[in-house]
Amino acid sequence: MNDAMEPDDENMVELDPGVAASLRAVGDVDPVVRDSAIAAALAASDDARVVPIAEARSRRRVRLMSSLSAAAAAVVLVAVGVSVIPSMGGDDSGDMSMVVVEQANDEEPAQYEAVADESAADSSAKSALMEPSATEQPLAEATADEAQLSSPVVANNPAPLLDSEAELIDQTDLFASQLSAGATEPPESSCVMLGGGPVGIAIYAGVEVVLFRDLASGTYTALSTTDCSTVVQVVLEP
Amino acid sequence: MVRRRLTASEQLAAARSGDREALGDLLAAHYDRVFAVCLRMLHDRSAAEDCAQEAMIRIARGLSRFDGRSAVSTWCHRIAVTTALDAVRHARRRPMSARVDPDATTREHIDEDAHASVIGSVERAELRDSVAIALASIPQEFARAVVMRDVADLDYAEIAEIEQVAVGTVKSRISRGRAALNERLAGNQALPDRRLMTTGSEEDPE
Repeated sequence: MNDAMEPDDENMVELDPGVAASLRAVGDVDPVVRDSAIAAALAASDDARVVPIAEARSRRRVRLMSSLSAAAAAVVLVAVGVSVIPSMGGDDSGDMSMVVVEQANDEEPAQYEAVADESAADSSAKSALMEPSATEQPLAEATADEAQLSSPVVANNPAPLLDSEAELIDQTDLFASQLSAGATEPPESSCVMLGGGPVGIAIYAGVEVVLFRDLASGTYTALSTTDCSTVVQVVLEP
Repeated sequence: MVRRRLTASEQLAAARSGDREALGDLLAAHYDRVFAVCLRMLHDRSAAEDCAQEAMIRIARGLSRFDGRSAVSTWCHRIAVTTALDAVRHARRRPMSARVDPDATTREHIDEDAHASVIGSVERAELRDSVAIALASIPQEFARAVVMRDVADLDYAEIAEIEQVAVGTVKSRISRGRAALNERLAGNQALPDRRLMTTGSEEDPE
């Protein structure tokens, strides 16, 4: 049946008022079930305000422990302005990077530079290998968002890695088109946005995010999968 | 101290600022319609109760991000719709345990309400079932569109966004779905006397 023929508004069939009323009438709602649902929602609301911080910290540590590789160390150290040559690895480098990251997670972004300096000083032998130009990389970009430092990309995470807003928009559009074509299922997520459901999971600036697209307003949003906080939101100009 | 009854906007503001009582009142005010949306989308009372609870949780957790671009009721109904659709998708992934079968569930309702009739709610049960059966008997894309429009009060654009189809398609589906429901329920003695009803008298929670 072709359902794409658009009726004019004045030609729209109206629901019989009796049918409309019956559609909305669902019989007696079980008050126990209703009260239970509301109680669960209130509890979840409390959790949403308190738990994510703890969850985020524990999750970060889990990720750190699982990513004690030379690559992860290089990502984190470069982010705080310290150059690490690709060949640097082994137990020493792993231990050092873990100390740096653990401190960085618990400190304010403004303190990252000091942490990096201390790390660099402690590893004077390694710092001798630094290229001067690398140490002069701007810190502001790396320290602007705590999330960039606190959630290093997990190497075996299958989600696509996005580094820019343009990539985020493209990937969100791709997810949405795959969804509408029935090629994929929407991700399971408790995060909610007006304008559309979640279309996919990605890693944006080192943070695992769930992506949303609101075509009506041209808004692309990435919410942290950890606590549904907004990581980035892009509104396209009409 | 007796608390003054809050206006809807005051209640929303209080709930968003962490007032548990206000949040509880807001959730309670919208529960019945959220449940109705879930029930009409899922055709199963037990699944609808689960869906309504999940929607309540999503509403409570997402309230801080509600931006006021729509009525809070519409926002809640939309969450109910997406939660129900998630439940349907989830059921499809678990075909052995939780597949939504409209015919089976409506038969279940008939059985349930046969018991209910014993204690004196025959007419209400018949009415509920006739609507449920009619809704389950039409193409489900039509049924979903009618429920989103006439139960959840979503606008055409929102439905189009959810269904990932053009607005014209949404209008067509709603129109055809309504016509099918009207036809199937025409002359149903259990329906309210339409001579006593006007189109402008439909309830509005806002």
